[in-house]
Amino acid sequence: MMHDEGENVIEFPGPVAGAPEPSGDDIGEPEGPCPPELLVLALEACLFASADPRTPVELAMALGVATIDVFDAVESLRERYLRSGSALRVVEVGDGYQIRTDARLARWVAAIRGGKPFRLSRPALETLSVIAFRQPVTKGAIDDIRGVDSGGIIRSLLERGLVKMSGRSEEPGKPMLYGTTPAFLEVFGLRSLVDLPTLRDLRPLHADDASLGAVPVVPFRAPGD
Amino acid sequence: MIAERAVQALAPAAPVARPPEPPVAVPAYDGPLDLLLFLVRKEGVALREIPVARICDAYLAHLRDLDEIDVDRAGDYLAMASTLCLLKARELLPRLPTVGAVEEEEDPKEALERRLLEYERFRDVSEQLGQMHLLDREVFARPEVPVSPGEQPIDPVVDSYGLARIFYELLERRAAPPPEHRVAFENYTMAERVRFVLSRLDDGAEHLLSEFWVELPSKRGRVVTFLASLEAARFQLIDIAQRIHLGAIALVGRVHSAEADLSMLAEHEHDDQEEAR
Repeated sequence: MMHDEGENVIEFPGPVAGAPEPSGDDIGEPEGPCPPELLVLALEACLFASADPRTPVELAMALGVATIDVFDAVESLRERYLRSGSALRVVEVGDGYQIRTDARLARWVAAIRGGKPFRLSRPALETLSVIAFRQPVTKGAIDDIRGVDSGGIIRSLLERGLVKMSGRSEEPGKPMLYGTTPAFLEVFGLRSLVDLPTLRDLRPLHADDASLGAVPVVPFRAPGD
Repeated sequence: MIAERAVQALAPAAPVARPPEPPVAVPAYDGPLDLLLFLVRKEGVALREIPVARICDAYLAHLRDLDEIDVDRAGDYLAMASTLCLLKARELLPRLPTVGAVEEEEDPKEALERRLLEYERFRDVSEQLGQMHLLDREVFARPEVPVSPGEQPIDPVVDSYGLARIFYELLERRAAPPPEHRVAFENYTMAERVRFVLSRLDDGAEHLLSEFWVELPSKRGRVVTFLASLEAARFQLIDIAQRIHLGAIALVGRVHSAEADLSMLAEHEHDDQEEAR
């Protein structure tokens, strides 16, 4: 059956010839691989029903197919979401895939969810980026870069599960070392730390710092001059 | 705000007749480095030209205004102000020629510049991070659905750590002190204790480990009985069970004590005799 929108409509394939409608006790023990014509739908259903990201291996095992088929199915699903104007997106976070809502719909989803909105303050983001780029890193080194005490912020990041203690430094006093957690990747929608935005090179402060390259001189004018 | 005061402080001392210029509107600063960076980047102030005295005045005025002083934050600003003073002093005062092999310490101006630049990189990248689509802020996934308790089986395996913890708890639990003090050497041996444990657990009988404790007031007796229980379990003469997660440890007999293969005890008996000699 074809609608005017044609290719935007997803046809749910009919029951596989001879296969009975699943009911009751049949469910839970997959018999053989997922039929190819149902694979993308089954993958979508699996991701929809999961709260946490699912790895390709987990999905392959649930669907009874090879991981390469999972990759293909994810690609098809991702394409379909983009093409059909869906509210959903397939994202790669950490080692797995997750279905998330489109960022443009945030205010309405936040409204229906209620509760306190998720916030990360500027000091929290600063501290988090120092930890992310310099891990494993001591509190002393973080304070040094930020020029302020970061103790309270580190504690709240620990409580929120975004950073963890990852051992002790060999420095005198054996200070605690901090690093980011898998939850950090999830919150920021990153596959790995490699996907972090790049920490750019130092920018020279003044034009006369020939060693650091030239920037135009901005003459100082006091406000009101 | 402290930042606005500092920016205001940069304005040349205005003649009384002129109305004071409104302070430059600036976003809230997150510490002295942030403020300093603003002055250098946006206002184009060279580090050595920063009017230190006026910035310090602004800091101090701000600190006086506070009802309660946040010592940490105030300290951060004061440390920065003193760095600026040091820098200025170095610029103004003639420098003595250094003698011989005295190691030149890093020029404070360079050190401060280096810190500023380093801070700026992280501040910029944190801004980028803040603009990303964050989970539960811009994008949402399905919420965690609680799994019904029936679907979460308790792992029946007692790990060695849990076992040790319970053992120490039992050691702490003091039995009633003996009515009289008689110092006697309690001659517990492994072989004897294994036999004791087996005799109590004949034919699948089950006892809590703690029940053995009540009759054994001495630490030595408890330790040897505990080790004997482990030894018996090792040779599959008894089972060690924990019915409830983190609950009491039970010992369960597996064999009839008369039929038990106790050949493994020979080694212990040998050791015991050696020790006795």
